[in-house]
Amino acid sequence: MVVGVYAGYVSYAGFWSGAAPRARRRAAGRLGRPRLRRRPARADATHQLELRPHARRRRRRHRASRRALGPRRARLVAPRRSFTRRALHGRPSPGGPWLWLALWAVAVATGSMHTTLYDHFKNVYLLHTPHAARGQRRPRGGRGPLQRAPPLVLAVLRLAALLSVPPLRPAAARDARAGRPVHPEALPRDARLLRRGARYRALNRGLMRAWSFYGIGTHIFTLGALMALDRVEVYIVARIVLFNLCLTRAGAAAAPRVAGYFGARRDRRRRPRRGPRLAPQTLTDDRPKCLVSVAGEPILMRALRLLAAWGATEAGGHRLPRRGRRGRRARRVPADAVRVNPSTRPPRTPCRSCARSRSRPRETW
Amino acid sequence: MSLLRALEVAPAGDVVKLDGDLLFDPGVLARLGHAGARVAVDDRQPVRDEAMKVTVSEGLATAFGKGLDRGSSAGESIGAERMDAACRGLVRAALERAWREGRRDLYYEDVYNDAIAAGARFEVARVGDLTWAEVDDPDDLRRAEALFSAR
Repeated sequence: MVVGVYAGYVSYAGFWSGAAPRARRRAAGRLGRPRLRRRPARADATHQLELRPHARRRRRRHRASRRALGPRRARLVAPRRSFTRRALHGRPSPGGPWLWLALWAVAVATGSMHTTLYDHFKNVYLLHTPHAARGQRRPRGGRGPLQRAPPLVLAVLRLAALLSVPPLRPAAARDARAGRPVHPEALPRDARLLRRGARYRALNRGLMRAWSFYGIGTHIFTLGALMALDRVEVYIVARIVLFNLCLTRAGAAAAPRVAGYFGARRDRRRRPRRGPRLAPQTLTDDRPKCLVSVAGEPILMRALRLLAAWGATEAGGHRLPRRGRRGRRARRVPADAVRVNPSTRPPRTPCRSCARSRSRPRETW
Repeated sequence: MSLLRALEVAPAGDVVKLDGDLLFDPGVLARLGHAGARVAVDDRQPVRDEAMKVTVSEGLATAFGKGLDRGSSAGESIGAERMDAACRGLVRAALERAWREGRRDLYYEDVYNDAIAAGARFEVARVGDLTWAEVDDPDDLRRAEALFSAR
């Protein structure tokens, strides 16, 4: 049914963008050899567009001057149409109806692909948020239509996602190569898809919010207005450019401002600051500032280690390891004690201190 | 909001607040002690314009602020504070009041000023002789690497 609706939608718009103006121009005599018709063919449906009062007045004046002056001079004194009417009416669209039909199909298909992918990645994200990690009720929308899609469709969309999202910096692998401790965000089995999902969301959030704000009402109104002006191709080009080419990096950088302009709801989730002043060095692309490594150890992990050694018992609701039985201080905080990046999967096993103390539920940062 | 949330979930008792971009020597925690409310203040380095300055009277912090006069300030708050139960309650009340009034773009220290006005007492722990660094930009990062790589 969806395919049928899309097919009708595409063919209808394609017809109006290319075929109808061509038919109207042919009926009005502006296609092929230029000629003046005394009475346009009334059987043509587009003839109705010509029977507006100002068009009738113009035609009546022209006929009168033609009778008085003859056809050649009458053409010279025919009233000129206004700039707006000249710009919007009567100009042939570049290309034929099939070109615009194809472009319309591209616009619809790519737009649908991105909205579907965004929905899919949103659901993947929701399934791995701290809500799910703590065993709480899954937020609404946790399982979208894409998870129920046929495997072939899913594979095609995932391939499109992999191609459309820039490759991510393998932060954990780099840390491992440099001999630094691997971050707790590192490498669950499906990290690749999750991290790509996070990247996709980060790149496209503003754009998708702007699209959501745009909404079906505005969409139909714009389409109808441009159809009335006989310029559906403007809509097609705008849709392809704004909603597809804007998915480039530059477009993604500008899109949050667009979304803010539209009054889109901002993400009010609490999270560590990203450290914008460290961003030029790309250190905070994939982690908050407190997880940037200094002297081989993330800032936060160092603080937790010192706090544990000092005798602190909890940090941010998480139980810290205590001192050793023989007075030895805790050497390192377990790597899975902190989880800041919500796009990674929660650790499979709790840290040793939490395993010893089951009285408190596990908290995540 | 983050501090208010942290004070809500932390168990009853004393708490230590550390800035997330703060690197410090273990001695800083020792100077904060195991009782009372204290704020770590660097009283030796020259105070920068953008530093969170502290004025001190009789060993107690009287005001925090970036706009304080450099000449009258006793040093720079490094972003490490210890709060006992009484001070914690006053700070939490000040945070809730600020949240209700819609003042949400505040520094922690702005709320400490409200808490001090409500009766909180922050002793000053002088840590100017200890190593610490705040990582805000690439220059800070290089400086921190140099300071802490040998430790």
